[in-house]
Amino acid sequence: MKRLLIITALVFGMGVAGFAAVPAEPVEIHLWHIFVGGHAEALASITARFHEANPDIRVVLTHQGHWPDLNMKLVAATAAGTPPTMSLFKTTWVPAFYGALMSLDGLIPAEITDDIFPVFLADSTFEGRLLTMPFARSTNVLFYNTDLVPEPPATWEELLAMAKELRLDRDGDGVIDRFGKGIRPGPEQFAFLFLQAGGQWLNEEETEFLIDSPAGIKAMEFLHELRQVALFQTGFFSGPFGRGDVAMFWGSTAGIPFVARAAAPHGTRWNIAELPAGPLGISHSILMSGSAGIFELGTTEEERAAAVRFLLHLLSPEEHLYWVTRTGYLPYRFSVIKLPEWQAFVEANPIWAGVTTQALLSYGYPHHVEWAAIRGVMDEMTDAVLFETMTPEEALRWAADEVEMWYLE
Amino acid sequence: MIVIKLKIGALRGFSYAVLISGSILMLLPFLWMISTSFKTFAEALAMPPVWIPDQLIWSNFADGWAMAPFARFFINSVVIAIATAGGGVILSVLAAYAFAKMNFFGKNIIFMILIGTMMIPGIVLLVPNFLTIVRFGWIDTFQGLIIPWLASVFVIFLLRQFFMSIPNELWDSAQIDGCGRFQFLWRFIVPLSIPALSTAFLLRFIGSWNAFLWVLIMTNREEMRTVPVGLALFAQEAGIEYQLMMAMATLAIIPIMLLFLACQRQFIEGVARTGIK
Repeated sequence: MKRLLIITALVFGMGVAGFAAVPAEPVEIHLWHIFVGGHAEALASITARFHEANPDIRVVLTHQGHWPDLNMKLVAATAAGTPPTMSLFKTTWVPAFYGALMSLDGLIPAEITDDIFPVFLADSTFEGRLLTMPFARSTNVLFYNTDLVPEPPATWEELLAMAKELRLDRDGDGVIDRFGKGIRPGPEQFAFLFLQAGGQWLNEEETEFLIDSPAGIKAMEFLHELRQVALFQTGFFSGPFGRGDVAMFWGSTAGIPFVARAAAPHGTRWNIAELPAGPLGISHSILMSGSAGIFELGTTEEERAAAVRFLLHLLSPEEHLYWVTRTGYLPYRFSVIKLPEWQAFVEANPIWAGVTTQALLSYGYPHHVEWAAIRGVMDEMTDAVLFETMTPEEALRWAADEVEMWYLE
Repeated sequence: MIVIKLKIGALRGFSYAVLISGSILMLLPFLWMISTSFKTFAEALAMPPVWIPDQLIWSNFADGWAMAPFARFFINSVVIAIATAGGGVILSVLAAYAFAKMNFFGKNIIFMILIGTMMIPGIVLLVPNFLTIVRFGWIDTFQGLIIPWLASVFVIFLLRQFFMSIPNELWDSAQIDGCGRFQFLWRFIVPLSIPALSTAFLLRFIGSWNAFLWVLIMTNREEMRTVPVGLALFAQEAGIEYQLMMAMATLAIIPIMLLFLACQRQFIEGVARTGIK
């Protein structure tokens, strides 16, 4: 009997010890994103380091296609009550997910929020609530061929003059083979010209779309004039620019790795400068790409806490530095751009000096609940001018009427 | 006589020239895809386009293949496309037979309503369909990727047109010999409709093989995704790895090509006899 008791106690003890030794299942959180190739690898490395330091959390990274695909998937998943724990967002979408997202107020230490470029933080804030944190932000900069453009244009006038001068018919067949400037469709180029001309999107009551103001007309007329002498195409400009067929173009910093690869085989030397200043002498650009947010809807407290820890890991100076130096996305922490590692990186890659300057001069779109749709109208408006189906004034007036009729109260 | 022959010859020559030009025009993107799959990144961006690369970069296939679990994507694509096409044809045969050879109350109205659903853009139905799939617990499952696509109004329409061309007298004779509806369908209609069924199978197979948005939306796990979703991995926010994308697209087209070559005759006959082009 005594033996039986001892054996029972031993078995029970071993069981308890064994139970205690089994580690608890890690909390699984999901992050939806749009990254592929080198960008996805960089995010995977950052996540692997997080897993090493936080074995109690497992982050599942899921590529969900391009921005429109990700948006559609988020809309559907949110409607079904099954969004991921975290996702990348364009800040213009955030109002649509307002009720489903967790407020990050008080969860991100002040030493971090105070260190982030104020414009980036403002772009992550909606109706006074911090809903996302900057992560993969990009902006438009001026890419220029340093052999053809020794000094980048500083003003609209200089840009237009260079765009005209640099056109070249190499073989004398009457067809221009080299262009001074390349232009693609898309509303962002009008948007930054509008800001540079001193434009204001909405009136204070948010009842009027002020795009057809004198600033809007000035910006659109300049874009239209530039389009007459530029190479206008829908494809990316890394190819023509890399070959030396286009001397300058406005492009996203996220395209830096592509430009570098396209230019290398042709020996094209290039650099990045801030955008030429508008009539008011300012070089504003528009913040693009994504911020990271956490869903309150459909997630447990434990998952949200794990997501906050992962977000803080993404924001840490080491990981932020790692991310921006490998992807072309913008730095957004003051402490990071003061780091000796960053200074050394910029010295080795001078293009980044221009990128950093432009980052500080970039602004987000207004946080109007209908801005994603309004941006769609702006897209049509810009296309109408660039494809020459409307004059600048007609297009601006059409867009203002359209937005006021459908999207503003 | 000689003049007439010359005129006919010239007309035929002109027709051939137009047809050959059209064929070349249609083939150009296909040839560009194959050619680009062997190019360097710089050659893929060259203007005017480089048609014959300096060197054949076979490593594009290996590099593209290594960027994602393409073996798994191919298996998924094959399973989903065969199940969707096979199951879809079986279900559509039953519906098409009813619409072509049976009389029942409201037949034409039901058929018109069915045809009317073809006017609804698929994108509009995406969110409601997603909600349904979530309620069924079919996210990340083969049933979620196959079952919603088993019914195809277009295939029902195509087969109905074909079945209508089969004389009703056959049914009368079969009835006299004691044949039931299902027996008649299986023993007479199906064997007589092989060209139309092959066409329907091929069209459904191609549709399923190329499906992108549905698979992307209904799956989260990489191991449930298909080749078209894999191809999107080569397009980044600010640039595209054309040479890798085209290498994988070239591989992706092989099963479709094989299937088309295998049932080319039936496909052409099926399209010709249903009057749908």
